[in-house]
Amino acid sequence: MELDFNRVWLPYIYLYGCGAIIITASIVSVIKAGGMNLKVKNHRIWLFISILGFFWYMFMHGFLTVIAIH
Amino acid sequence: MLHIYTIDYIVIACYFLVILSFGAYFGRYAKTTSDFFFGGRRFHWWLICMSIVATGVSSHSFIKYSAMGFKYGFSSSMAYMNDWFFMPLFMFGWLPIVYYTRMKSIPEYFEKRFNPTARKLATVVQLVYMLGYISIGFLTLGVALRNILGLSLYPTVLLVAVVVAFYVRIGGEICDIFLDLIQGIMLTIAGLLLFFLGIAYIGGLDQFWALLPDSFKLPLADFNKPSDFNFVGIFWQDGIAGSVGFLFLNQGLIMRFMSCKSVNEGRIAATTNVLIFLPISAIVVSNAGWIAKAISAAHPEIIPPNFAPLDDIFVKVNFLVTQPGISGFIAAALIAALLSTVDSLINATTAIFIFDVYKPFHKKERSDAFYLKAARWTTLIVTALAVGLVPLFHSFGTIYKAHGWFHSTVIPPLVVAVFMGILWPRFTSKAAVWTFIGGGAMIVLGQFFPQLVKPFAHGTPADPNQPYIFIGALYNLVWCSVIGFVVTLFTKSKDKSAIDGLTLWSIKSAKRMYKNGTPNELIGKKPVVNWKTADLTGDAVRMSRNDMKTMQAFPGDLVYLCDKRWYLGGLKSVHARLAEPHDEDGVVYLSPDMVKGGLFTPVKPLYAEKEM
Repeated sequence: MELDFNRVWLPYIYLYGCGAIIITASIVSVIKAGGMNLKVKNHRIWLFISILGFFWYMFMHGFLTVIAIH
Repeated sequence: MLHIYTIDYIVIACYFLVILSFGAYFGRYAKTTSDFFFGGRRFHWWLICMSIVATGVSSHSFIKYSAMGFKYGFSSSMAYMNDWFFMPLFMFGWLPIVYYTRMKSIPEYFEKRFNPTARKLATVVQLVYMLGYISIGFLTLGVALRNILGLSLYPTVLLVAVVVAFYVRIGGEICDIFLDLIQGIMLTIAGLLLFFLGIAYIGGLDQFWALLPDSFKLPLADFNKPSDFNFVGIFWQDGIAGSVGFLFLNQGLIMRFMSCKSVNEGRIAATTNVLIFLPISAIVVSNAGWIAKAISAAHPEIIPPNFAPLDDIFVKVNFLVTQPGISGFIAAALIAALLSTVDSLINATTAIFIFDVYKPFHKKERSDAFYLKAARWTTLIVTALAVGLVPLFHSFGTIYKAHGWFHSTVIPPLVVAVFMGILWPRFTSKAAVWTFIGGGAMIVLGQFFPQLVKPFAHGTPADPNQPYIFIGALYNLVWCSVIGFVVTLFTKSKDKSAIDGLTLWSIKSAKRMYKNGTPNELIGKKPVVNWKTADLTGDAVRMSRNDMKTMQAFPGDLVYLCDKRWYLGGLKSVHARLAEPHDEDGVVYLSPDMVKGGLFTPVKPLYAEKEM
């Protein structure tokens, strides 16, 4: 099977493009609504974890893709 | 028929004995409906996390992801690695809403947020969703075990159903959570063991890697082909509809979170599961397919490249690469996976039946003991109904397809109604009802006229027999959203006070309602105390002035009292409200009812933690 753009990078870009929109909207909503209160230390940690989680998966998928094609 | 050794049967039988004994032991702790359904809202994050792992990694996962792993490679892990995007909304939106409003079922939210009609529609869809899930679970185990037991499909399904119904009936949620702890650990070990033994069988990691084609190693599937496994279809079906359905709407999972001692413990459990355990679970459930592919490349006479039926690949690899006894252990893990998933789902369906069907139609209030008895009998009925649905799903071909179609068609109206309900206070009750009715109608039309789905298909080819199974989820979600949006524009929304605490924008109110007062957010410490009984009423407890100062707590604040032994995971604990203080440091006074409810043991000290 040919490892073209459709096979290798388009799914990755689509996943993390849509994912970035969803997670940004989620975080902005919960902060604006007051569910996540950045004045509380515990909630600041959760904000950090929320962003970290996104990049953790982005890294894993990116890393696996790179080692697969090399 | 595989060649199975006696030792394998002994291992499987021992496993069943242990499970049933364990269920019988913890079943004695289920004394009220709250215990039966929600484990008394007492457990610590690590227990709930392992329980979620066991619930999430179900037996159909082993079978269907191994099948897809064999056919398409590492991209079979996609479904386990796309769940993070909705987590902030779940942790700081949905979880606090369901926890603080003390929701007993998802349909209950629909009545509070919308109206009784929306609740009835949500109940029907939820029951279909849960029964379908249970039925697929039974089918999967039937498919897997027919080769092991040498029985045909339906007797195997019946045997499994009897065992499942027995131990769910005796225990309920407390029993489930402790069983899941064991099963979660066991199936993770078993899956990884199979992976390592498979690698050894092939001749090492280098050999394994070299035998796999490059396209097979990619973690994501091809963007839009083939029709039965493509990235964009699976993203919308599993990553969006499936993830939201599982995280937000799966009554079994929601009940796990409601069993947590607090919202924050629920967040830790969910985060640990998604960030750490899901990637491991992806390997656990898929690796048999990857190993099979490598074996097939090196020894096509052992596993031919066109091996069929695909759903048998997990069992084939298990009995090929392991020694007698170990294969029995791994087969037992498969059983563990089914039991842990199906028991939660049966329990959850029972909860929906009791709270959303029985209670609303029988207005006469009955005793808690009556509902507990009714719940236990309902588990048997639910099990029987799910067994009855097995032939329907069996007619689908592969379990992956059956499950994918099920997700993409049943969940969208629920997903849209809940999301718009929590995010948009203006979203009206009539719009919620029309999301089900109008959205449902468009979903049915899409099934009969696939050309309607084509504009959403991102270029995925249509399978002539089952067109757009996966990408159909996008079409369904869009139509439900459009109908919900348009109807809202032309109808009158509920008064703000009527939906207080039920939307993302009023979580603070939900918290206030939970406490029945202003939450105390001061951060204190957790004093260790000994308990004594006193003549107190309700959930009141009395602690010393100094201990309350240590906790930064005041009379009226909510407090969580828990046996100090960490390994109990909160089994012996209780939620209470602080009454006026006394001067005896290190002592908490409780009513005899609280001692009974908390399952406290004499002499064993407790720690006290202010909740809010």
